[in-house]
Amino acid sequence: MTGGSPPLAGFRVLDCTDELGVYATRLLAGMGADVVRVEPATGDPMRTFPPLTAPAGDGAPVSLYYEHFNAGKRAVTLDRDEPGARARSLALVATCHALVESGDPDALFSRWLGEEQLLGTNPALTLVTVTPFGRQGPYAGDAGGDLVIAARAGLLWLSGRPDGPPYRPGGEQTAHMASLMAANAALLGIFQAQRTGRGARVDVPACFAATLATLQTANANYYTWHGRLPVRRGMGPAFARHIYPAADGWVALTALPGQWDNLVRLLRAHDAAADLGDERYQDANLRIAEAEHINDVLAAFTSHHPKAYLFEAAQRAGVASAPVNTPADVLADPFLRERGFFRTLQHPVLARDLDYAGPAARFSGRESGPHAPAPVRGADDAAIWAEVSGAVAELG
Amino acid sequence: MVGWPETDNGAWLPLAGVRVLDFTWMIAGPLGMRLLSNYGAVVLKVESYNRVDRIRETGPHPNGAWSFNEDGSFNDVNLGKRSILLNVNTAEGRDLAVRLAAVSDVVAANFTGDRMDRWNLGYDDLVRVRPDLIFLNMPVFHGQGERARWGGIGTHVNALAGINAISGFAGDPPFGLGPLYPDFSGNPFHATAAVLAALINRDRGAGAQLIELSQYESTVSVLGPALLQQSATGAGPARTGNHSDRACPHNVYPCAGVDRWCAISVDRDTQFAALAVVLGQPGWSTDHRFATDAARRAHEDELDQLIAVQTAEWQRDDLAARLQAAGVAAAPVNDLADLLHDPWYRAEYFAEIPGPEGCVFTTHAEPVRPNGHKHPVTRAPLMGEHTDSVLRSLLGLSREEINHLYTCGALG
Repeated sequence: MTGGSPPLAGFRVLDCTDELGVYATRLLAGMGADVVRVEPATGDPMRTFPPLTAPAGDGAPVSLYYEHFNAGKRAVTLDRDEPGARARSLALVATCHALVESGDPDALFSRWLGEEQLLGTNPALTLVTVTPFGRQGPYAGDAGGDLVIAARAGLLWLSGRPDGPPYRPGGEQTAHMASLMAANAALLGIFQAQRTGRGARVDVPACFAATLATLQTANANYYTWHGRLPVRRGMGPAFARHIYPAADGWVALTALPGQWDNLVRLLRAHDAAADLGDERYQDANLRIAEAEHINDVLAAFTSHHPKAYLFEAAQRAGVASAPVNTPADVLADPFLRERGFFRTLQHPVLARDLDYAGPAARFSGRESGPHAPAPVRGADDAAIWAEVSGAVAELG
Repeated sequence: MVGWPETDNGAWLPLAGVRVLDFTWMIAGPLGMRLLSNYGAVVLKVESYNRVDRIRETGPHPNGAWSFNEDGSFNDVNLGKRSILLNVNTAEGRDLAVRLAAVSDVVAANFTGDRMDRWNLGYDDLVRVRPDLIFLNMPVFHGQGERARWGGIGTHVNALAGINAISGFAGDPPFGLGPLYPDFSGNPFHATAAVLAALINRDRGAGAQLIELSQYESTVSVLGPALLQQSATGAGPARTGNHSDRACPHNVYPCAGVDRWCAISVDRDTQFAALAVVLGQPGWSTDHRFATDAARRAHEDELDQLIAVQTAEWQRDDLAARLQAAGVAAAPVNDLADLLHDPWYRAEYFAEIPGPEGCVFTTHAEPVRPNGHKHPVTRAPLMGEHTDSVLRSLLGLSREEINHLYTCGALG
């Protein structure tokens, strides 16, 4: 099913992102774009972000954060203070279809080079700017970071026990939300430019992207129509509890509408139905009233079986379920292995194989996903500047 | 004067001329197709009274008798689309679906894996009538065998992909998240990114494309560093509440009032000194327990408790503003009411749209802002609102033919 070139082969994207936008360019690289990440002469700060792992023998630790988010990209060293840096940068921009940047509005690449110069150099360019709280507005000058963006966005509020503090989603999800929107913005611009010759200038405030993730749980109309506020619910109300203890961890198990009889069948097959097969439980309102009892019966069942068994047995019975997987479970999942989800690549410094996540979506008949580890510092400089040297001469 | 192209009324419609035949339902699929709709594509949402999109029922609904046509969540995820009634379980309905696919650039579905194939509406069926078709299939699981028919909702994808395992406090069960996060993140927007990439490639002659997006895989994709850490070190991250491996202190702290919190993040000594001054505890920055990042980390729980004692005296918004003015990252932990009362959010993020039956929807508009402006949005369609007009204008059907299709049950 693979072999063809990836869909974005031949498109070049300049990557001037910090952690807020770095997944956008990772995603574009996975779909085949030639992503060139600009690295300051002092080194990309992301190369020091934890988690870190040390190579055998001597050598600086490798950032697995940098490694994941920059797999499949190239890097080019650019010292903004060096003579000719602006001309060289514009020459590089002239070869690009999109420029994706993120961070503090005052420190943006486009602020340094000038938007008019960028567009004058390349009218087909799409410029995508991700900032914590917008380029303008009351919070534009505020410092961000995942926790603080999630707080302002209303995303942080929603997770946790009702009587405890709220917590943020794991894995820096405000940056992922912002990056997903930024990647789509870049693609919308490239699509337009290919048809019309004109690019676009697009902003993505990360806080807005994060608020979008609350769309249903914190649907605005609960408040505007009914004065109701969504609250943190822990494991959910009794009638909609979603996780149960398994013998070796936890399992998510839910009889979705229409699946109650399937659930009873599953329990009966394990001699664990208690009285749930009684006719009276056909009444959905009664099931809500008896939720605590139903949960007790379910927990008694689930706690006797491993989560992987419960997942498969429930799905086979027609009941929605999933194991609460740890990263180790996900990495070892035979289903993902068989599908070839992880791309095993040899790391040039660690000198051993690592499993990289991706691709998020597959293009039948085409390669996609990370095809190379993250760039080694300075390794691509000569090649990239050689590719743009003609343009440098032209710009004088 | 050079500048990026200006747009009418703030609208940016790069996808004008692109047509999407949208079989997706619930949230993950429709929210993705919403993005395509908002940026210019004509999205034809296929609906049926045999299988009403459950998001038309889940609410919120305005006061009084509720209808399928005024549901806050449905409106949010289906802005700007057109709705056509089509019962593909009838021969005539399936035939119409094929004819609509023939005049569409993109067909999208998010049922369990082989549902479209079983209707004979899969990629192989439809590419025969539309040789450059982009077909997006986005079930929870992909692949062959029994898993192709397994399913779930966002709760299950959260658990499966590992979000529960790395979110929350170590002492609690892995509750997961309040929001059904995968439905709003990787699933819709990896899907649209893939569709856009395929459309770009098609425009340069690449032809048809089948896109397979497994919601499991696309959600795992937003947890990448945790998995690479697992792969490289044999140990992935655990649940650490609001703590971070790049900043300390890094937490939410209680403020004056009930359930009011301020998020604070400090990633260098100068910021910690500023925090200490704002909280009236300047001695903290020379205290051996807190003077350096390593020391703060070693005493993180103790430090959290000391900060919480101080913040409890503060009004949340005042504290966040004072800290930001002092160079410390901070923000109120907003709830929905806070957002709706924030003038900037109200003006630049939320949109108010008259509903079709008298309500006013307050909707989440697009975070993607052309030229830095808010992008205008329009309401979601009534159930079947565009059936007749689409069949007339796209397929050239006559009034009599359309009447017959209603009578025989194909449009219901």
